Amino acid sequence: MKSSGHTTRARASVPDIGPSLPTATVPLLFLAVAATLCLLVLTSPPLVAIGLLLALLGTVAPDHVPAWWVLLLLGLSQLWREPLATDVVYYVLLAGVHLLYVLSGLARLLPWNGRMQVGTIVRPLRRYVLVQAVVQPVAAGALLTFDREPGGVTGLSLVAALLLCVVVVVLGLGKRSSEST
Amino acid sequence: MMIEVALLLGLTIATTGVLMSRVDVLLIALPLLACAAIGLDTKPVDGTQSRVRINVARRAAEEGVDDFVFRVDVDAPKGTELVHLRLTLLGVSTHQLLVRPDAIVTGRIPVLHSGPQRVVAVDYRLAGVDSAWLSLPMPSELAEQVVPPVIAPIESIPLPHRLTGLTGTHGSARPGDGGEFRDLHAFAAGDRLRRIDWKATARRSQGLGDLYVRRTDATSDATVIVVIDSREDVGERVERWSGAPSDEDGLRVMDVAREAAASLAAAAIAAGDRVGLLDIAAHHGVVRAGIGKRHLDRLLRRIALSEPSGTPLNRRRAPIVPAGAIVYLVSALLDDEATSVAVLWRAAGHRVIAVDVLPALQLDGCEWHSRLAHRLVMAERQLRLTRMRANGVELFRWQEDAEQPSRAVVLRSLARAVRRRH
Repeated sequence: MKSSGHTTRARASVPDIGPSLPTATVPLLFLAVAATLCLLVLTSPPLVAIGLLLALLGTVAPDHVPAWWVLLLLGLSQLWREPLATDVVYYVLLAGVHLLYVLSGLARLLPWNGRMQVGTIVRPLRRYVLVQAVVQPVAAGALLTFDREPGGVTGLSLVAALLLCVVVVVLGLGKRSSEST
Repeated sequence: MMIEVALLLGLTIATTGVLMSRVDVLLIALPLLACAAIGLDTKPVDGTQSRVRINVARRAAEEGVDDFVFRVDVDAPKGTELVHLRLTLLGVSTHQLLVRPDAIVTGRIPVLHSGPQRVVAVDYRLAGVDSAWLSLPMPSELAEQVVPPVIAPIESIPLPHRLTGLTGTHGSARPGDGGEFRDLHAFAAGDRLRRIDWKATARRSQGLGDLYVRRTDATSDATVIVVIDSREDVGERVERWSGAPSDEDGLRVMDVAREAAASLAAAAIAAGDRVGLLDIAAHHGVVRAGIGKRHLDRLLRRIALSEPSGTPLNRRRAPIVPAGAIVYLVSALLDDEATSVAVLWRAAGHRVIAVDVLPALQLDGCEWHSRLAHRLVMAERQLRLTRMRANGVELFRWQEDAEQPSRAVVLRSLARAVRRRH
């Protein structure tokens, strides 16, 4: 501010949060990943169209059409595919569904016109890589073990039990840590 | 909330996999269930407090325009992964930010206007791992600053028609002590012996009993009432007059008004006069007339705090000002309220000087109807000014422009005009 004889010109007042990205990056990335997975995984054209529509609506209007509809469609689309250990698309689907879940969690936090610290995606990304580093070998091992006996009830039960154990152990650890604090 | 989504999705896919005896489908649920488990694990217990701290400081910049420097940091509970901040700067410009809980948000905002400034308002909410949980929006935190107006130097300040004080820095019209030489007068009862001018007595006396004394003028102080009209605060850009307030640059009426009021008050206090303050648009804007540095600080603080209030006060009669006081009415004179009050004060015998604080207006970007409305408003205003002048109210513009190149010259001529009358 100066004396009334002068006028001042405003300069941009943008809060500094360090290296940052536009928040629109996240929903756009969600749309790109979802669309790619739909085109890659879904086999029939009507399903592809529905998948693309759900992906688009989940990106543009997440309050009305939640993003998890497209996750459900993609997850269940594996039913129409052969369970092969050598099928790369399956591993891509496994990684993609998880990535879509992480991205939808970030996308629902902010409007499109915001900015996000680059650091905010480091932890989710690290956690994503860690989970995938466990899940992908487990999936490969399970498929290699059971693709000789597709639909084998014993093998499936073993994997389900393993899955349940993982969940119970994690939940138990979480409860113990919350009680200790 | 995302915990429920992850659990629901994971369990649906897993159940379908089990029912269809498909291990590959079942495994797709594994990362989702893992995410749900991690989200549950890191969810903070209820009642954990969080708070946001805002520090604002004013810093002089090299180019002459000061800055507010702010710093925002959040105390988030353990388990918080993301903080969604909504920063509102100067009450108008909003920034949506997603930051880590240990992040520090800093920024600079140019100080564009004087007066109370809502520098930074922060609304925030916390989110857990992968947005597994979301807190409710926290109550808004606000950091305010009051920017004092610039004080322009004034060499000569106009005085009232009649000085009423018994002592001060101004020469009075009545004889007394302390002032300049007045005349030589025959000794009368009550004159002090040390006032006898022996040389003049030797020169002038006709008889042995004649004595002459040197008489001087008395000194006196003036009472100055600065009246600020905080009714409207429009900017120099006419196209934005009817819009919402913005962080526009350039002068606003209240910037000029605060500067004019503060400068006049400082000049009058420096001259040893008694200065009072009145805000005709508010009930609480009265500072009784006084003198001294502490009183000036009080006046400047009150002037800096003046801002348009929600409901302007409609007065039925002019506020009472001390007898013999000069009234400086600092107003943009965009309505009849200030004008009618000024005319009433003038009719009561006060010297009234209206200080026009409407900045030089810019019509860039105005559409034809805005230009037409502006012409009408200005024509009405001109009529108002003419009526004021006709009623004996003196007037000058605070802002220097082509119409009035030097404020100092105008003030000097106004000050001289009253000196002649003493």
